[in-house]
Amino acid sequence: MGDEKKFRALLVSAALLIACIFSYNIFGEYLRADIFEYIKRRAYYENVLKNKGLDLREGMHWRKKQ
Amino acid sequence: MTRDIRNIRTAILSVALSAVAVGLLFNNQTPVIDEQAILRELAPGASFTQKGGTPPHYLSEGLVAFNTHDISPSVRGYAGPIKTLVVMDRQGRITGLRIIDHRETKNYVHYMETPEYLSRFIGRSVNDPLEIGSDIDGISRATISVQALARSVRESSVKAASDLLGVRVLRAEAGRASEHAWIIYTAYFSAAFFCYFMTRHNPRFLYTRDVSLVLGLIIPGIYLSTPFSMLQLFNMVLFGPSNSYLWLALVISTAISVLLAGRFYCGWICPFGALSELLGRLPVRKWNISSGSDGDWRRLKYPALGISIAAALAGRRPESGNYETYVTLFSLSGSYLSWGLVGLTLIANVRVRRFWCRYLCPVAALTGLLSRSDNRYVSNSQCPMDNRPGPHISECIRCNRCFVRTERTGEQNG
Ligand code: SF4
Repeated sequence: MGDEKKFRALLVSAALLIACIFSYNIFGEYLRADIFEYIKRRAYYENVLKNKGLDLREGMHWRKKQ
Repeated sequence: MTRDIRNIRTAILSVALSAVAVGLLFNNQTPVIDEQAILRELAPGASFTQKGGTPPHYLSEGLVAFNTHDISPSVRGYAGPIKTLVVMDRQGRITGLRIIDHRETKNYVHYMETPEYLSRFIGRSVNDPLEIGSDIDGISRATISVQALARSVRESSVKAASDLLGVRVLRAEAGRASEHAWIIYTAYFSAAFFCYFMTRHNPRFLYTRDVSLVLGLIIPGIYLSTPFSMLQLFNMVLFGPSNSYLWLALVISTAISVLLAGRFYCGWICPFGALSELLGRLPVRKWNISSGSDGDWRRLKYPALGISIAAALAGRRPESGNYETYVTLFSLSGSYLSWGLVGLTLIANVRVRRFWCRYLCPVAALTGLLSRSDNRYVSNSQCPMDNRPGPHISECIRCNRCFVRTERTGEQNG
């Protein structure tokens, strides 16, 4: 690969990294909150609902009703 | 190029103004904090009255509590007040405290907020110095913020103890001794600025720039961990200027230098610039990049600056616009992505001189846009920015190696 191509690849990678950093700065908190919520729901399903023979969707419905 | 720069300047200004307007219209709510709930955690079992009186406070049997911001509102950290809830016993001794709101940069203050760090204040009396570097440990990468925290706790505790508890405060005016960081920075900056002018008059002094680069790495980089960054400007636009002397020294000295000497900060002071340049001096073959592609890619830093400004000001959150490698590197804190960018740009310098400064740095973009033209900078083969002959002033970091002293001899430095 010629110098010019390597240089372009380097700059494009740096620009992509910067784009990811901006996205992470702006949306990171929401994403993290969503992920934690999902893990909590999943843990509740694994520990409680699965033992009652319910799937995640039914379990949520059942939980809301309860 | 000059016309291009003028257009970019207008575009960046429009982005900044629109972002401020969007921020004020849509993102201007202050969070509601339940101080009573926090007090229940700080003093379990105690039942506090509603907040009232002068200065505003909560009372419980044997304890008084207050928000430092209600008593010392003028004390500001890097980006505004650091609001702290303090619980004190009737003898004027701190029994609990928690930071309840601040806008400091997370990179710098994550340790300051921890119970482990705040426990250093517990048990201190209003007669103790409550001073960073004296009875309270500093945090080397959060100088401005911890000093503001200590000062707000000290001032509000003294006022609360004397006005509410009738405790006689024996301690005289304190808190000045530890605030010497700004003196060190100002002395270093002034010396470098003096050398900059000397090198314009006599190329024999060009070596002083190398000394300045090394000191830049050590003083604002490693020792103070506070290189000038866009965060300081975002904080100022959104929340007003800090009253930390170091903050003032950083912002004022950089502003003066931009007015008088364009990108002097980049070429003489910036610790990341220094590190990049030193890496670029390693005896490794540099990539051969065509002048056209080099020129085109150098513009990349302007949209990056624009997005950074828009993200920080529209969301009224300085950290949203932060992708600055020197903040990550010298605060020793950042996401994996930020560290990835630090690694990539540092390695790139070995093959492409001052890679970060030429193509990506938002401070370089901003100071370049504000530089006044000076056609005595003609560039030559030793240019640390690999500028082609007759560069636009926005790309010159004022190393003075090519400075043409037309007024006397017409000869060139270097
Ligand atoms: S154009 Fe001249 S003064 Fe500017 S960085 Fe290059 S060599 Fe130094």
